[in-house]
Parts: sequence; C-alpha cells; structure tokens
Amino acid sequence: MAEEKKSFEDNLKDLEDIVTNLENGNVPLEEAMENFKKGISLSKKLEKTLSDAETTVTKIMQKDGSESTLEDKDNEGNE
Amino acid sequence: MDNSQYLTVTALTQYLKRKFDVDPYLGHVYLMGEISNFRLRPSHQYFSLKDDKAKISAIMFKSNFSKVKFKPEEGMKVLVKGRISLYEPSGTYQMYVESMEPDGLGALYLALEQLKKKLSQQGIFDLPKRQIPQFPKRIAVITSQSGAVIHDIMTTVKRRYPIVQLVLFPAQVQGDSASGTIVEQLKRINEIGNFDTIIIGRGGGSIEDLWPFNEEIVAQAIVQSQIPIISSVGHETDTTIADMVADLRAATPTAAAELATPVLRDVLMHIQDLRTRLSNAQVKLIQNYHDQVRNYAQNTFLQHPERIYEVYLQKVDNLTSRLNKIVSEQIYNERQSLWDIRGRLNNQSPMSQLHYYDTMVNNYQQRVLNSTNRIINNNRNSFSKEAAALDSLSPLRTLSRGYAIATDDDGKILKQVKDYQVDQTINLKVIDGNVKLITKEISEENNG
Repeated sequence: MAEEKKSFEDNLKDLEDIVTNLENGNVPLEEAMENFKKGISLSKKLEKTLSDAETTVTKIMQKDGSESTLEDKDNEGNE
Repeated sequence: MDNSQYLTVTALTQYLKRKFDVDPYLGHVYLMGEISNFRLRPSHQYFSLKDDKAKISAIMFKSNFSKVKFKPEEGMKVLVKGRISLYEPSGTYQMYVESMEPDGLGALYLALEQLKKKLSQQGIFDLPKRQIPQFPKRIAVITSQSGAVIHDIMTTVKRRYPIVQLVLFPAQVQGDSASGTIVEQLKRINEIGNFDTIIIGRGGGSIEDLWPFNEEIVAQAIVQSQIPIISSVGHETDTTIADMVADLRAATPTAAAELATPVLRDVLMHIQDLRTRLSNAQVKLIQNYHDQVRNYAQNTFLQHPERIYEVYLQKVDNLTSRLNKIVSEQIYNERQSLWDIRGRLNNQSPMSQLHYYDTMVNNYQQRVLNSTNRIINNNRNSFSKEAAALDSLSPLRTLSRGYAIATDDDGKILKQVKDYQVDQTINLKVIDGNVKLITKEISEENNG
C-alpha cells in the first residue's frame, strides 16, 4: 500500500481530515463508510506505531562515527 | 672632522630603534585614540591612531588582528595595547598593536551588533523558518557532553516522548575552537542525514562564554542546515545570533526538548479521541441518513401514494368533462349542420316534381279512362243494338212464344223421339222456369 510510505504526521493529518470531514456531515454515505474504515485503520496504525516503538537510550556519536550509549548523570544531581 | 666621525643612516636608525625597544615604558603602552586611515587588508593591518593634536602610525599583525572580534572602522575610538618601535626601512616609529578594544561598549558587544547588522543586510534573519517535525524519530543534540544541557534534554524527552532516539554530537561550547566544532558537527549531522531535528544548546554564561554562538560561521552553518534546528543558548535574556537564525528558539534546554517532542500520552489520547470522534461522527452521519430516510418514508406522497395522482385524476376529470363538452358541442354543431343540409336537401327534394308528374299521370289516366269509357259506351250501345237484334233471334224469344226445351238429367237436349225413354225424367225449360215431366209414351210420326 502506498500509504505505508506516508509519515506519521501525514497519516495523522489524514486521520484528522477524515474526522473533520465526517463531523461536518454532508458526506455521501458510501464515501463516509469508506472514510470511516480508513480512519479506524489509520488510527490503529498510528497507535500501533507509537505503542510498538521502544523506549530508546540516548546515544553519543563518536568522532570515528560509531555510536555508543550515553550514560545520564542523573545520579550526580547535576542541573 | 674626518669621515669616521659620521654615522651611517643604518647605524643611527639602529641606535634609535634600540632606544625605543629597551625603554621600560614604551614596551607596554596602553593608548587611547581614534582610528584613522584604516582600510581592511588581507593580512596585517596598517592604520593611524590620532587625537585632536597628534597622530601615531600603527600596525597590527595578522595573528593579533584575528583575535579582534569587532570590525575596526574609520573614526572609531579604540583602546589599544602594544609597544612602540621603529621601522628601519622607512624610518618611522609606530605602535605595534597587540590587542584592540572599542572605547565605551565592549568589543564583543560591538562585534555582535556589527554581525547582526551584516547578517540582517544579507537577509539571513528573514529566511523562512523550517517547520519542526511534530513526531520526530531521531533528534541530534549538539552540546557539551559534560554539561547540564544534555541531561535536561534527556530527562525531558524521557518524560514526554521516550520513543525518540536522541543522539548527542559532542561539541565544545566555549572558547576559541568551539565555533569550529559546532560547525563541524552541524555538517556531520547533515551528512548523516537521518535526523528529524537538531537541538543546539548551551547553558547560561557571559557574552564571552556564549561567543561561539555569535560567530558568523556558526550562523551560516545553521542557515545552511537541511534539518530544522532548535537553538537554546544561554538564559532567556541572552539572545545569540544562533538563536536568531535557528528555526526555533527555546529559552532553556528543557524548553527545547519540549518544543522538539510531543507528549506520547497526549498523542495516544489524541488518536483515541480522533477515533471516538470518528465513530461519533459516523454514528451521527448514519443517524442523519436514517432520519432522512424516515422523513422521506413519512412523506405525504409515500404515505398516501394516491395523492401523487390525485392531481392527475382531477386533471383527467377536468379534461374528460371538457372533452365531453367539446364533443357534445361538436355533435350538436354537426347535427345542426346536418339539419341544415337536410333542410336544404328537402328543399331540393324531387317530391314536388313527383307530385307534378303524379298529377300529370292522374290526368292522363283520367283522360284515358274517359276515352275508354266513351269507347266502351259506344261499343256497349252498339252491342245493345246488336244484342236486341240478336235477342229477337234467341231461342228464348221462341220460348216466350210457348216453346220449351227438353233436357235429361245430364242437361242433354232431347231433340228427337229416340232421345226419349219411357218413365224418364225430363226437364222442360219454359220461358219463366223449369218443369219436370215423366214420359208416358213415345210415339214417332212419319212425316217425312
């Protein structure tokens, strides 16, 4: 599906547009059903994207181009 | 005096130079003056310093001049530090300037104003700002590895949007080489490319501390970045050029992290909210359609379909009666004209002619009858005469004279004796009737 290539923002925008469009009414029923299905599928996909994303650890880019984990200095009470 | 008493120019000049160089005061001179004859040169700078009554030549070598943050200008009052010496080839004494500060405002402040003016003229501040992605996947942070900035950003991101990948690109954030490392990291991030947002950050400090973020190469690198940049340099009151050219300015590193990321929980809620709104809208929409269908179903015409054609019925009625009327009128008219025609036909009838001919026929008939009667009468008269004549000859006349006619029962006239028999019934016809006789005797006579 071509939609797979769309960014999270684009998909969210699509979903918002669909909702607004449906809320405004005046949508032919067939189109509304189609949009509704699309909207539900988009919302699930968006939710899944976020839910599936794992919590990340901050990396540090070394001069040689390698990334290593950056330890936060939380314990040092630095602010 | 012989020639040996004469000094060479070189010797004298060397002597004078030595006087300058060993002088305990002229080696460290603090001088205040106005720049004159200044024209920016590629390497060493030559100019004069003057006041109302005096003037001194000055030179500033490239190595020293490169440390001057502001751009010297003609007529600018400056405070310089240096030494006085003599330049042998031209025989001029001059001030070798080691450092220069603008009089009044701080050098850095002046430099900052100058760079702002320059960049403003180049239109860099008016360049369109890039949109900061709402849902970044990877954020690059340029700051010191050891400072509080990265810590604040990490903490904030972890709290708000822990699914974003933060990558620190360590850079010096103060000192002469800081701008170089910042520019280098900016270029590197753009070369790697797969970042959504860059945060450039540094904690608060003096104008000198923040200076790298006021340098033109940093400003240019920020402007040239393909990736949107959020800048958070110094405290809220400090505005650096980096802040001004960045796509978004944040007051603090925490604010920068907040501007760079959404709150994951909010996003999820927003999506759920959208889904609820979607469902509600859909239900409402369907309800609307439902209502519409019901409304139509309750429509008078659907409820009473006969009303659809009531109008037509009436129309048909109307038309029918009009048709009848028209047809009646037409029939009447036709009949009328038929009568007319019949009347005219009657007028043209042959009856009168027939009558005439009838009369004629009758007339002729009468005349024929009259004629015939006359003829008959004539003939009858003739006949009567003849008949009278004949009558006188008739047997009946004979009878009247006493003769009779005898017949048998069969009516056969009995003329002779032999026709008779005895005891035969004989009918005698006399003039005025019949007589029945019975024969008694027959006698024959011979006369003849």
